Amino acid sequence: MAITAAGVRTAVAVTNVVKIYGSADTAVHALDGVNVTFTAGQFTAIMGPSGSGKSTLMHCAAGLDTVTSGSVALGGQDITTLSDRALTRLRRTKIGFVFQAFNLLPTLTARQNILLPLDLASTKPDQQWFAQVIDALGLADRLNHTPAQLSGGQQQRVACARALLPRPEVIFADEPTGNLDSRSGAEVLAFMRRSVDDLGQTIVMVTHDPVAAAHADRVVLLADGQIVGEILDPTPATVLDGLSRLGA
Amino acid sequence: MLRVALAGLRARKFRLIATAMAIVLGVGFVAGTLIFSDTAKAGLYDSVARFGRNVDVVAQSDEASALAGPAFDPTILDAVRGVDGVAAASGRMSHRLPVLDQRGKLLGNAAKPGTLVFFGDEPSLRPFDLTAGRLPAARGEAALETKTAERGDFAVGDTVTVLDATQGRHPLTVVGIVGCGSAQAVADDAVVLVTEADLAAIAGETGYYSVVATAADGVSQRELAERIRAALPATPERDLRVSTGKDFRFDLVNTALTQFEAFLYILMIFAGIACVVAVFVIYNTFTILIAQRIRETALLRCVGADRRQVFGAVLLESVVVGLLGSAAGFALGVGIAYGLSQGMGALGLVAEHPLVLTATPVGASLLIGTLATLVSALVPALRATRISPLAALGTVAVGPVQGVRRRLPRIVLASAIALAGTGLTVLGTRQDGISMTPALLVIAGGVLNFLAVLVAFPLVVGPLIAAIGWLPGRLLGMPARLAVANARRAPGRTAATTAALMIGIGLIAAASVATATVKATVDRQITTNYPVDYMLRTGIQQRTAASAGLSVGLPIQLADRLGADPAFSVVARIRSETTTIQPAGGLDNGGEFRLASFEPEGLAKLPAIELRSGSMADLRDGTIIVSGDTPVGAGRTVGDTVRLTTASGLALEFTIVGLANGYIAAADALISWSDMAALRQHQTDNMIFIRAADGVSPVDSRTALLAITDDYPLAAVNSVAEVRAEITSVINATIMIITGLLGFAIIIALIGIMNTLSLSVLERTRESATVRALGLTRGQLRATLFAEAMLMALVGALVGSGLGLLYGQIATGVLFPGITMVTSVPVGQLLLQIGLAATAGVIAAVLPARKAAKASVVTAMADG
Ligand SMILES: Nc1ncnc2c1ncn2[C@@H]1O[C@H](COP(=O)(O)OP(=O)(O)OP(=O)(O)O)[C@@H](O)[C@H]1O
Ligand SMILES: [Mg+2]
Repeated sequence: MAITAAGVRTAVAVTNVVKIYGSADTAVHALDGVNVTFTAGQFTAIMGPSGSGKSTLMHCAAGLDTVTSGSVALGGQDITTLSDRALTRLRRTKIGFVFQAFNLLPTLTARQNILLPLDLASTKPDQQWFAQVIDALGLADRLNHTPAQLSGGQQQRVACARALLPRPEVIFADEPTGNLDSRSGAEVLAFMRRSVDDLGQTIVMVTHDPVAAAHADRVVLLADGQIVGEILDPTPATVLDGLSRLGA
Repeated sequence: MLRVALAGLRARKFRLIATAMAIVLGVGFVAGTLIFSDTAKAGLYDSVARFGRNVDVVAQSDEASALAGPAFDPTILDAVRGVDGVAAASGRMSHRLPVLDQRGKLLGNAAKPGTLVFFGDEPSLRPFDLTAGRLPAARGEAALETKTAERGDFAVGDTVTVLDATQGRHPLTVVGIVGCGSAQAVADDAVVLVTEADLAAIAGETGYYSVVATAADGVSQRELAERIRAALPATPERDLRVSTGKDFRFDLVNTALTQFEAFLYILMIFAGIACVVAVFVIYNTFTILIAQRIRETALLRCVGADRRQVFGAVLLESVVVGLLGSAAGFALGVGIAYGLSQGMGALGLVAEHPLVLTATPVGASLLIGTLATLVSALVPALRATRISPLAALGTVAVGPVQGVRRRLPRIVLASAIALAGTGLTVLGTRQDGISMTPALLVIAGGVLNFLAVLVAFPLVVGPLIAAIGWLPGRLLGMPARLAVANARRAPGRTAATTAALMIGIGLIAAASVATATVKATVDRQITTNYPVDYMLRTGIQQRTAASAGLSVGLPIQLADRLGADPAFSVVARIRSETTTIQPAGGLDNGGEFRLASFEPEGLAKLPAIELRSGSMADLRDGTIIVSGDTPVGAGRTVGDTVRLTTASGLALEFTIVGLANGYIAAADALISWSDMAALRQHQTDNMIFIRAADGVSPVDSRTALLAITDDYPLAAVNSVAEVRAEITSVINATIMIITGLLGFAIIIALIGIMNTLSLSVLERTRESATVRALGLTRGQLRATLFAEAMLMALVGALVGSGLGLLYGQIATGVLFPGITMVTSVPVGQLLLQIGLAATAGVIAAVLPARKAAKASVVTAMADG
């Protein structure tokens, strides 16, 4: 799982980001001066106790939420100054999402769900690439089913395909295996791993599960809205160790 | 459980506001109509009652109405004065005579050309109040009724002219203005108050149509009526009715009310339609609310609530909403009634009167509103009881996509209803005769077919939306396609939402088609029956003239002078007479049959009258050409005999030699010129058809025409172009009034769309956030909702228009039996209506769309 030292490129750079919810006496410092970079072609896991700001960090890095101060650069472009409209357009092709609750549109078939971001950007999918993704996810015979006709694992695989198809700069996944049994979870993680290794995809994943985190190249530890450590080439044991040290 | 229900209400108050709005509008219309009705009746009573002011007993002819009737000879007044217990008595006279305005034109209308009145010298028994000047005291003086003076722009000191039975002119000086009050009786008449001597001189009559009396102290109305009845026995030549002042006032109000009540019934029908639409909206809201509350309800069931309690909680909620909505609706109704009575009062259609608030409208509003809400909530409440406690355990991450359950029973039921509806409709169109039965059958058939559409609608609404949404999907891309998918996801919900709009739009479409068809038919009749440029008619209806014994024909010199003018190439005289067809039984107009006749020289110059069968050449003495489109003509053929009697009792027999299309010169049949001459006492013309000579411009021919007709006040000039324009404006006004009355129903339906959408937006919070995260802009999210609303409105409008189109045509066919209608589909108007409905749908989506677009992506995602 080594990364080639040559040609290291930063996909997302988070610099001095502060996120405060509410105001005055009820203010919550969800992020308190976070500095972190996500290298292109790398699989990064974010871990930390509940309420430590993992989701907030992801939302800010993905341009879904505004930051109180600091900056976020995506592929070298500062996105904190972009308008809502520009951000939305950016999300269509530059950012992929995988959610804990799958978040497929119930009215659309699997195929339509997968093609949704490209449809929104009015671009045609690369047929060969589409076939490759579908094949890798084992969804070929499920494309015309609606989400209600799919199992949780299948739904999450559809969500993965949806995130991957536009070849985004980065895919953010917030607890993608949180609603899955261990086998389905392992399948999704294996797929993510492969898309990093074989396709050079950049993935940032929030997880509570040390085993899931062990699929990543690097684990970033977050506590009370600050980066408190990182683990390279994690294994379940080293992750558990790192987490337990946070608690101490 | 009561606390749970009330807490639920408080928590969802915003979602229930739309429900309440539907009730408020529906009840508002009902309450407004009821209060307006009470107010207008009170105003009517007040004004009509002036005729009965201080009247304790009235003696009148059996057929006497307020302002006209056969006269008693003058000695009757002395006889009444002589009765013991009479404190004061007055004789009332009136006579129908044409009244001219200051330019010498008829001031009244064709049905009420004017009335000369004298109400006696007893001040306490005068049925009017002096508002300016003084009362006529000498011959040659007159006072005008307020509305008459207004219409003719008369002031004290001006001169008003009255024409006598032979069209002699009697100029009178206006010395005063009096208010008679009664809106119905005097509003469109021209009422001139004169001295008894003048009335006798101008009308040539000296009798009274009624005698009114005031009782002396201590004598009751009933007692005095008895005494007067004893003193004035009815004789064969004098049918007499003596009634108490109380009964007299009651009768006056009732007579005035019958016309007015028809209008109130129509208002009530439209209020009822608004309520039906409101029921749809309320039903739909409750259904959606129950669907959204499945988890909550299941939880209640888990912790021990039984089905009855769940049912009760939903009903309780509906009753509270219904009561609050009805109360607000009543308040709105007060406003509506105020607006109506002010507006119609200003137009002189009702007497002005302060609002009358009785308990009935209050009770009716609360009852109707609450019951409507309760009934609408029944099915949703039943559905709530079927929620299994297990549903509390399921995880529902995204809004539900509901299919249509029980397809087959739905198809069977819809087909059965449609079959019955179509059967009734066909039965209605097959029936002939002029009774109301065919129309009622067709209406019942239409209602049934509409119900069939309702039952089947959830099955077809999805494909319809998909079909209609295809083009926007291609043009607008993803947002429109998402809208189509969303509109299709809950067919039952979409069906109920659009059905509410369907009712209003359908009725408007039906009215549009019906009026367009009537217009086209009348247009054709004008072109074929009046192949001329101008038509001169007498300004007074024949029936009116006949009952008043007026000679109102156009003097024969008029046509002579026109014929001598080179501006005109054709001047054709037409004479007509009203007769009764024998046997008259079974005909709703009492067998009234109008005959017309053309002067042969004029007829020769006119284009040939098209006949359905037979030949114009056969029209000679003893033969007749009957209009084949009229109820009388239908079913007769050439060779049949027509038996008629004239007003003077003469029996006539004609042989049919031809059947014409439509009416001919506004008559049911044509006879020969010499036969007509034999029928009539007055040798005057009733109509003159005029064609301008070639090369004479419309302006020039009109000027030439008016130069001559100015000398004949009773000659009304109609240009055929004007008649067309007039019909068009009447038809446009009809459509506007119907659209206005249906406006309530449509607004309620739009509230339904808004309501469904905002509830759907709530339900789809997470989905909206997801698509926003995936790259849908705020604008596109709004567009999605606009498109969804537009699709629903379009489906409702299209299906409604389709049904309306069909039934509008069928209904016109049935309402005018025997007449070959020229079917006309006002395509532009229908498309405009559909377009407006779609636009209104988009407007209804503004608030829900704003709400959806405002939600932050992150918080929406966090919502479970
Ligand atoms: N919209 C909000 N308004 C106010 N406070 C918020 C909001 N969203 C998050 N927070 C607070 O910010 C802090 C970080 O929240 P965040 O959701 O990022 O935690 P997390 O690490 O993802 O936790 P978990 O593992 O439970 O998902 C928490 O204290 C949370 O209460
Ligand atoms: Mg989180």
